[in-house]
Amino acid sequence: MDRRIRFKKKPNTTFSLNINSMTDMFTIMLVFLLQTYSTNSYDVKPQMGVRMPTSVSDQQPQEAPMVSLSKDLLSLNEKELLKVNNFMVASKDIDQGEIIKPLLAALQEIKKSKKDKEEIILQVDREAPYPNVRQILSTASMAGFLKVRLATISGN
Amino acid sequence: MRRRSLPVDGLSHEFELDLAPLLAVMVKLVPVLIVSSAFVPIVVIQSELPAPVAAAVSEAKPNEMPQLELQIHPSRGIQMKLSSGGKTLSELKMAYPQKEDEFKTVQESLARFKRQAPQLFRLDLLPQGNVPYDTIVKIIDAARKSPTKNEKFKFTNPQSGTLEETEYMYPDVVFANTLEG
Repeated sequence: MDRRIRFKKKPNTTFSLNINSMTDMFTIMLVFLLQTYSTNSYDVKPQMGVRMPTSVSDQQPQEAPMVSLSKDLLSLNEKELLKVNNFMVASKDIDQGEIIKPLLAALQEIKKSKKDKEEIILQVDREAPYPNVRQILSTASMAGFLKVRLATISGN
Repeated sequence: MRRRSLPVDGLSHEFELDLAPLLAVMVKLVPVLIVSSAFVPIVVIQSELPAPVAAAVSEAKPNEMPQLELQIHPSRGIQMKLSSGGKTLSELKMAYPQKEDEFKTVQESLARFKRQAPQLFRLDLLPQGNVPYDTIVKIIDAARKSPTKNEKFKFTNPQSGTLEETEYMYPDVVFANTLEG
């Protein structure tokens, strides 16, 4: 019987991984991220439940106390200040018709440490009726914040 | 005499490009950019202006300057009134704007008032009733700049006394009815 010596083929331990598609994906991601990259030193974080209006303004926000009003919450610098009912502040928290007492106290506290600052950023839901916005404006001006910056989503 | 082109051996057109370092850079860049990207670009409406316009705004004395008031009410619509020293110079009433092109009409109407009083940069905004915040922002947007890029408004620079041109109409918007109680 003819016996043949069989050589077992050694399995190839090196293999080439095709990373072309992965590189393509990363390139697309990189271009997209570079477009959305923000070089501004201060970014306004959108608050939960606040759907801001759009505007054609291209001015970047500067650091300032930020008052947010959503359907169920009034907050200052991302911290909950008051629960509101459909943008409306409870009457027990209102003084002189349109001054929000807890907000006034909090803003006056900030004003003590930043006396030269006159600006606040207002982040209000697009559906909020003006009387409720006016309460915030009046409270801010009472606390000494006379310039209001309205935060909006860039519509450009 | 005809020349024969000789086949060149050893010149392969296929080559392998090592993409590993490129990929390594990308892998590092992507998380950095994800962290620092602003996926919702937030801007503010404020009254920081080019120097001559800012000077004209700050120099404007309320008693000497005409005054432009814009009242907006969901059912009564828009009322614009240009007055000086308590005397009404011109007045305009419009329907409450709801669509984009209706805000364009508001902008064109404001431009008409601007042509009448080009030195005036302040708009007294008086929202009444339950006007939504979105409408107020759109009105401020409309009041800020000229409706057409070609149209510029001439005004005298109070610092140099020279005649300047600007596309800004009413960048200085004041909520006139706050603290009314």
